[in-house]
Amino acid sequence: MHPEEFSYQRAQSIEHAVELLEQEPDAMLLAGGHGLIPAMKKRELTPETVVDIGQLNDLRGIRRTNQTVEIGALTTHREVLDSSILAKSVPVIPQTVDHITGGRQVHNFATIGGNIARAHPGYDYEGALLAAGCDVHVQGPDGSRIVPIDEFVRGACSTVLRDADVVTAIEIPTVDGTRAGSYAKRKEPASGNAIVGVATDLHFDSTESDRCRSATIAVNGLQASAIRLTAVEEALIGRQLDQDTVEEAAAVAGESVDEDAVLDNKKASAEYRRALLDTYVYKSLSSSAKT
Amino acid sequence: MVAEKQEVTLTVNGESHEISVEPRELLSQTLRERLGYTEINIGCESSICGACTVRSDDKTLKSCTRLTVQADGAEIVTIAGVSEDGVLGELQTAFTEEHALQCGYCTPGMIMALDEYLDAHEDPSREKIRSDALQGNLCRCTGYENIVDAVEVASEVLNESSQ
Amino acid sequence: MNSPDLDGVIGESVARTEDHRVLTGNSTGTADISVANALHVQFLRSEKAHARFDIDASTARAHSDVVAVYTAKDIEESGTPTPEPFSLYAAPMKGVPHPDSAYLQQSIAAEKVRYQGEIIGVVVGTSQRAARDALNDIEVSYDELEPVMSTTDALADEAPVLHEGVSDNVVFEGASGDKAETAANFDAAAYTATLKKDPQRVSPCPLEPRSAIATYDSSMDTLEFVATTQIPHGYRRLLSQMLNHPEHKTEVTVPDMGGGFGARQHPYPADVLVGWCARDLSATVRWRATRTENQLVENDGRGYEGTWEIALSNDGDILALRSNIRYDLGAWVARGACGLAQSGNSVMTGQYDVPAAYSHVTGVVTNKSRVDAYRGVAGTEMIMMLERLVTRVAKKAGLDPATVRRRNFVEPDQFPYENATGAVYDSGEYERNFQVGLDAVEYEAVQARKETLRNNGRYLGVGICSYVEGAALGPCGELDVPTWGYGGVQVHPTGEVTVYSGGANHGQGHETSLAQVTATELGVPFDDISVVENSTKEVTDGVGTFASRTAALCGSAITESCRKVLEKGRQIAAYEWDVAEDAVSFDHGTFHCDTIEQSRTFQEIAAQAHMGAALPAELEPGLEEQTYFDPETRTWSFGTHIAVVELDPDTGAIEFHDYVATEDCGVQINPDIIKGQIVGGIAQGIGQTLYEDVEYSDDGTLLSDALRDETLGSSGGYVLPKAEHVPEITIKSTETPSPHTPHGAKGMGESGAIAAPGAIINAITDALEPFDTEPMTPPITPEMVWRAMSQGGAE
Repeated sequence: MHPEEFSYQRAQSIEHAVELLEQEPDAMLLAGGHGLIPAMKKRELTPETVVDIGQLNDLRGIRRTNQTVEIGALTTHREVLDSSILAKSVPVIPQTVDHITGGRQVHNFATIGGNIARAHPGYDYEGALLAAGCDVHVQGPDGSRIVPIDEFVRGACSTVLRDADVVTAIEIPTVDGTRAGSYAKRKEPASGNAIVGVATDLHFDSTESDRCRSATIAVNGLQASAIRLTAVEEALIGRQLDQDTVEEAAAVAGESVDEDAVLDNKKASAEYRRALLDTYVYKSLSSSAKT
Repeated sequence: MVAEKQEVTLTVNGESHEISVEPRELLSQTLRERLGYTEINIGCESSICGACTVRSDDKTLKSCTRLTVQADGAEIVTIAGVSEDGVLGELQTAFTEEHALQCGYCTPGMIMALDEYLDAHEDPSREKIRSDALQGNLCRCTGYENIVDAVEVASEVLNESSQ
Repeated sequence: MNSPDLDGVIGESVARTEDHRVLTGNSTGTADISVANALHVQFLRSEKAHARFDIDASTARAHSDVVAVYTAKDIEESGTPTPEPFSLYAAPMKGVPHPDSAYLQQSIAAEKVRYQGEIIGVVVGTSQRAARDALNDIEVSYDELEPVMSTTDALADEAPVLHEGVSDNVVFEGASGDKAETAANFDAAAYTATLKKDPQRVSPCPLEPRSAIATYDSSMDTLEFVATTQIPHGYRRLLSQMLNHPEHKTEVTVPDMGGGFGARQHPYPADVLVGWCARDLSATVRWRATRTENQLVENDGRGYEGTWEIALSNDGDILALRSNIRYDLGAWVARGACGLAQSGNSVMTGQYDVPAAYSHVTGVVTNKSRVDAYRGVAGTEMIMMLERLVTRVAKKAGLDPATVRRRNFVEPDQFPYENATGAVYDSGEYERNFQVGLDAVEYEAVQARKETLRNNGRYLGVGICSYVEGAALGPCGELDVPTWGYGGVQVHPTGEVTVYSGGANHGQGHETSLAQVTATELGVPFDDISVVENSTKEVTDGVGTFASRTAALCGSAITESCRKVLEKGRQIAAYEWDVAEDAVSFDHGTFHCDTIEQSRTFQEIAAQAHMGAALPAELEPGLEEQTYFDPETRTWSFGTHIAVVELDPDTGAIEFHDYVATEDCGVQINPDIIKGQIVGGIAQGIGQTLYEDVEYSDDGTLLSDALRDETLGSSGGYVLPKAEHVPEITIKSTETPSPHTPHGAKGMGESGAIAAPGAIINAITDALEPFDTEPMTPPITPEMVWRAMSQGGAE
């Protein structure tokens, strides 16, 4: 219940945060705290220094640029859910965030940066960001860099972030025409994390068009990190999204899956997880198609 | 290694407090043990039960998942701050009329979370109340049915009074 | 004695007195109480399930904010008497001796640990955090022994021996019923069915973790506890015995408590040690468990595995029931654990008139934490398996499961009914209550719908579970502890009333329901009544609140005390009016004379009694009575739960379409409170059936120690059902009064937990009928259902 002792430092700027992470012994970042604090209470994590970036307003906010939408790393799930920019431009994201467990209390304080930096296989953001396609902005000792999302995550709870790196923003390209998105999730009953969670991002030429120009689909929870279901995506190009199309597309989900990499554990066996995939792809597509 | 204490100001239910705390002290510990707001209850260690829920700067928060030093300058409201002079609000009245509490341990946090939910949602369905409004709070005694009833009743009353 | 125009009487759903303080943030639990200069305890608990160990606390002792550190050796060598070992409250079964004393736990382990979490060291510090930090500096080395993690392992040849002197790891072995007659009836049966059950433990998991504060005042030689217990007087008695401190100088108070469910009765090792430290240090010493600690050591529930069987005649008469059970008790025998075997056997025939039954139970130790009472106790498993077998054998015989039940119910004219394991049921109208349930769920219609849906590849299932709940233990002498109910009524000269109850309210609404009983008896306004419980200081004696006893036993005691009060009132009035006592009657709050025009209010008589003048010579002043109510028998609530589920063949998801619960607990004091108990119990039953499972690794580490666990590969945490996991529930009641309680109320409270598993498992099994599947045991997960459906081969 009581974390081990640590020294607390408030970062005055992103650069200062990086500096502190580099120089202070055994330092960890504190943003929304919903990943770090529970682990510290159980003494699973025992940093000597905690660097609080929670007050850095530069890392907050959702804004449109010319061709993208940028989400500051400290943006809370609540802010994402309430964002009309995202609802219109990248609906798969708020649709997915709505399924993040823990209740309103968690949505009010947990952040996108904290979520993807943790890269837990059962978390939900990764799949949505993979489907939407995005770049992760990182600032570190060598300055800032941009990492495409499919290079950012390396495995279960493992990213390319080094000790003194800070995620500063997530940038998602917008598309012409209209965009529909949804998330279908099978929750593990205690933690609420995803056994499988399928994020779909559908692009249409216009609101009148009922033919899908293109689609990106990604699934959380199936493997150590989220993966794209390219076979499903291909089955949707140029197609009208009626029930038959959706069924056919869902049926080929497995073609994109490396069976050996499917997680097999107490939450669900690999066989069962794999069986859930088709159903949840179907659910997610059906839901997107209706919007 | 010395973890320097930090000076923190908290306003709780309108009362200002200036305190000096170790960085590792949790907001729930400060509120309960240091400042005596024992209406906040601790039911778990993994941020799931919600019994410790308070409002912090108008947003509900699980106070066990916040360091006090993070909350410097915050305005905190507990269930005690929701009722003035012991007069129950609509949600609390609905709770007692619908028998939505038994041991009462989860109730203070539950009320804070549901209060915010009702501010943001008019006329929720019973299914939504179960899956959304009550997503962040556990109860071991009631089986939730009467809590859902209470939220429905309170929602109706609040809608009527706002028309 | 009906007072229909008075408020707050029996039968009304009065809003609870308890609620206001909770809703205004003024509820006070043990951990909320502030005590100046209290010292804080943290326990060093064994990391290993089975090991010898060495311990060195010298570094921890050197911390400046640590007052003392104790190991078993320190406690033994100190001047303060070493705590006595724990004891049991009952023999396992009639005729079975008490277990070997080697099975009685000491509060602290000396050289060997037998479950992960067993206390090996005690740190007392100036703050909880200081004590917690000091734990890191106690050095322990373990010499690990092979752990025994199942009853099979415990009973194997060459199994590791947990307790010296008991080489076979068997705590007790005993049986109820008639073995030979049962065997003969099985031989004569036209149909039989057998089901196995895998071991399952569940964690009662009240939301408030355990907590205790002990103060020893050396100038007064008093030892006072504030603690999380359901039995304050029993807790006091046991602490007094174990700490060798006089009972009359020991007090226990229980403030608001966040749940109990049976797991919070007797003191635990931690509680004893908190008291011991207070004695040794002449101080106030306090402790509260973390959730992790609570999961580690608070008693688990259930622990049964084995084989159950049923025998049916050609016509559908249940001829016999038989079970062979292994009972995983954990490393030590908890105080109430053994007696639960008898309790379970007593309900094994459920609502049916069964001529022969036999249940054999073997209690076994394993390297896990203890098992003891949890809502429904062993009755849950016995009813679950009984009801699964009734449905299973009915289907084998080509009979409708509802029809077979109806055919075998005990008839109203058979009460008092002694069942085949010696339990005597008081009253019941099983068939009438059953029909209410069938009508509410529209049984015929839903069965028809099931058939139609099957043709469309949708799988509905209907499951029935009829149960009895033997509530309110009794009579006295059945156990090694008292089983009466205490109720005292004190009438103030103003006519207001303070009621003293030996129960221990922790969510059941006693402050309200017992006031309702009093208002009914005395015709006093509800708001003029206070109910006091939960304190050895304020209440003379009591047995506590568990086994659904308070309404039936304390309620009855209070009723009798009220009637004694009115009797005295009539005597006072009769004396004053110079009439015979039987010419005075009382109703609507007034004493009046049937022969002459005279009346006095209750308040006037109370004032007069208090003054003490103008009383007959044989009466003392005052108006106050107490009763120790000794029941003739336990009371028997009953009912039926019917679940309708649909299984999704693609995902195995289990969706509730309907859930109907019928309840008969005799006369209902507060219907809303009763419904609340049923729904709460059902939620726990759903937990046991679909979600909850205490999980240990092969090396004896408790894996399910958190309610949410993000460790990669873990099961995700111990599931406490959320609102989204519980369906909408319809409750219907009938009222068959108990002949043995003054108002006809029976105990209730556990029925939801008892009946839900059988109903849900029967529904799932029914839905899986088109598939060729093996029976399942709980917890039943969607993956298990999916496997059954995808591998079982649908038609």
